[in-house]
Amino acid sequence: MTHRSASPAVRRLLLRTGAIGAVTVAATLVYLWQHLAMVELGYRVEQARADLALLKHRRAELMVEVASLSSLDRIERLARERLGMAAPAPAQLVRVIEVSPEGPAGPGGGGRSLMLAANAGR
Amino acid sequence: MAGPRRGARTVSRPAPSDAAPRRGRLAFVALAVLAGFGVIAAKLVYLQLLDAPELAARADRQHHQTIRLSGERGTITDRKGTILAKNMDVPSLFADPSAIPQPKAAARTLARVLPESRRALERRLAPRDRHFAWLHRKADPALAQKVLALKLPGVHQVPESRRFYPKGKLLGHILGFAGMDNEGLSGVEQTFDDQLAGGEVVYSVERDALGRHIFPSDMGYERPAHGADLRLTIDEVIQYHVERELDRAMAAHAARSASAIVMDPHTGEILAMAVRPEFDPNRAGAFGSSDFRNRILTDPYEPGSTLKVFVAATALDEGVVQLSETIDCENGRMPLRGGAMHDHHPYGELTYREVLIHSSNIGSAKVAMRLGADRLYVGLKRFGFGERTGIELNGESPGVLTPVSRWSGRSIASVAIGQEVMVTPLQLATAASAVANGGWLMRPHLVKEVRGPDGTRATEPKRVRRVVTAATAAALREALTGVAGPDGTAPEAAIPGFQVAGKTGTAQKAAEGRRGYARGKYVASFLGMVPADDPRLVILVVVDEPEGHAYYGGLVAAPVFKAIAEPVLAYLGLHPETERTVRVARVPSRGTVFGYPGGR
Repeated sequence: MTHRSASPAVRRLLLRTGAIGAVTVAATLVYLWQHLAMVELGYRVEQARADLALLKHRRAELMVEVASLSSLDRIERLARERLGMAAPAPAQLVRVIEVSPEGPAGPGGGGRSLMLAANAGR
Repeated sequence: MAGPRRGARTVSRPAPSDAAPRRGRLAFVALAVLAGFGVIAAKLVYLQLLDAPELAARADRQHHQTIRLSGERGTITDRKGTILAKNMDVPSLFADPSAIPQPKAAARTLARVLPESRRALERRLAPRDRHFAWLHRKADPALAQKVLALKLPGVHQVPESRRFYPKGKLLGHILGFAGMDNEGLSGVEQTFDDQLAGGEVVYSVERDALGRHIFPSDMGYERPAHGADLRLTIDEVIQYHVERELDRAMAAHAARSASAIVMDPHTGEILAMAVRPEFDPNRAGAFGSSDFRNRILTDPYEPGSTLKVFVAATALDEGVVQLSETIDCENGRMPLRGGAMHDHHPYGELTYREVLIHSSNIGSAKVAMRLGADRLYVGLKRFGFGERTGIELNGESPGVLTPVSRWSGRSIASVAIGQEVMVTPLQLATAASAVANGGWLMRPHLVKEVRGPDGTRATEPKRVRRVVTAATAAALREALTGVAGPDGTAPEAAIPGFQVAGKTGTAQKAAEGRRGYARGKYVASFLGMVPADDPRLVILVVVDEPEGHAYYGGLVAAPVFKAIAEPVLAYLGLHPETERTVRVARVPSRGTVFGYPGGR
């Protein structure tokens, strides 16, 4: 059988067809990759949203827990029963007022004030 | 050679006798194939044209899911941001009865764990044609875990948002509560339901074969609007002191009910408001509807002597009497139309200041008579009696202030001592705020600000009207300091280091189902302002039907006032100047130098 070489026109046609085919395949692959990437990102976004919802839920739980644990009746009960504390009598309270050394204190007491409970007779 | 060639020709070309059946078979196969294609084509036509809508809908159901999202209900906090009510997701348990093979056995098993009767569960699981029945909504997470651990077929959980009140019974009557579907049913929850409720968004998501969400189809993913947050004027610490002292008063006097309100007279802000018996909004279902009533604004009562404050304010403002003027108190008995009026102690001549300090009925009635019915009525009306204060809560009563045209000959004297008139504790505290702030009637309010998606709306203090002059208010406050003095009716209201202006009330209760007053049934109250020269607090304490002989306002309610006011004043940074005060100054070169103890 004799080998017949293709004419230049046929070669060009083959080349062009091959190139178009390659570009089409590449475009299809890019499209598929893009689509898959989008789906993958969608999953990740959904997962992130689920995580966020979980964290928000946990945060809400903790806020409610803090509010519940800081209830004043609970704190007073613990202070009295577990720590043996008692409310100081008025006579045990000493008010400490910080005044400016330069000038006299105003009628309201001047600067910052602090209440201290003195240990009365114990 | 010709034979085989002929034979070969025989194989390749069938004899005319074989050709017909072969053609027939070929035609049959061709027809069968054609018929096959025809069936496929018919099926295609059926699927693509006739059954298409149903199939498309089914595919849509499989690949898409519609999700309804509700925005979270707004949070309620006190004035300092402490959380008082907040929503959280908790599991709700439901069943698919059609997927439960033995409903009776399942009900029996569930009844051992759930707080539901076996019979009730059986009823819910019985209908085999149903696919959904609630078992227990908004369950405790531990309980839900227990139920799911049973691994019963057809039993599932779904998260639902539930309202939590972390402070329990504290503020129960103010907050009210939200129902199973997060709708406000009483208190602030009900009044502000529209603002607190979150928005709702419906959107569609695409699902893969495993049922996972791929991505919202419309890519919009609009989040539902969060309900507005409310910041109340209430201070948790002040509220705590009020509720604790009310509990103590209830226990000490075996009272039927008790209530107290603390107001900032300059702004009309309610700092605390409490009612006993209490209710816990976390367990609202365990209480009756009457327990939810905030009696401070719903239940008017005859205030008794606390109303003398406003009769006095009107009389002083009208100039019909001076505080130093002497009034003959008739030695404790004054004849009136239809009977006589008595004082609890026989007094002779008293100054009007002493009339207030000793709470003489006769002295007050005489001053009211000088005013006359019209001016007395208008004066009380100006203080807001007989009309709603306009507080944000539902169910407020206007009280009863009968028009003068319906007054009897005895009415002026009766109204002057707080009878024939009914007021709510809220009206009384609001009116007292006018005396405390220099004469302005303020609109009381409970909500400091509403923080919604469209911004923050703050409630500004609102002056309703001027009711008396600042001079009258100041003079009256000064006179009322004697009530908490050693000669007054409420020495137990005195707070060392502070001047307390106040008035006691001991009102006999109206008899139920008949005219007149019930024997031995009283409402003891104390209305106080502190510090008297420029009050920061107006506090009203009302104790309903205290038992025993100590039923006077000065003995029952005044100590409660003091027990509330003393720590609250310290909490607000108001300290008396006493000998237990030490001043220190920091001198950088010499360290801290202790100054002088005592006053200034």
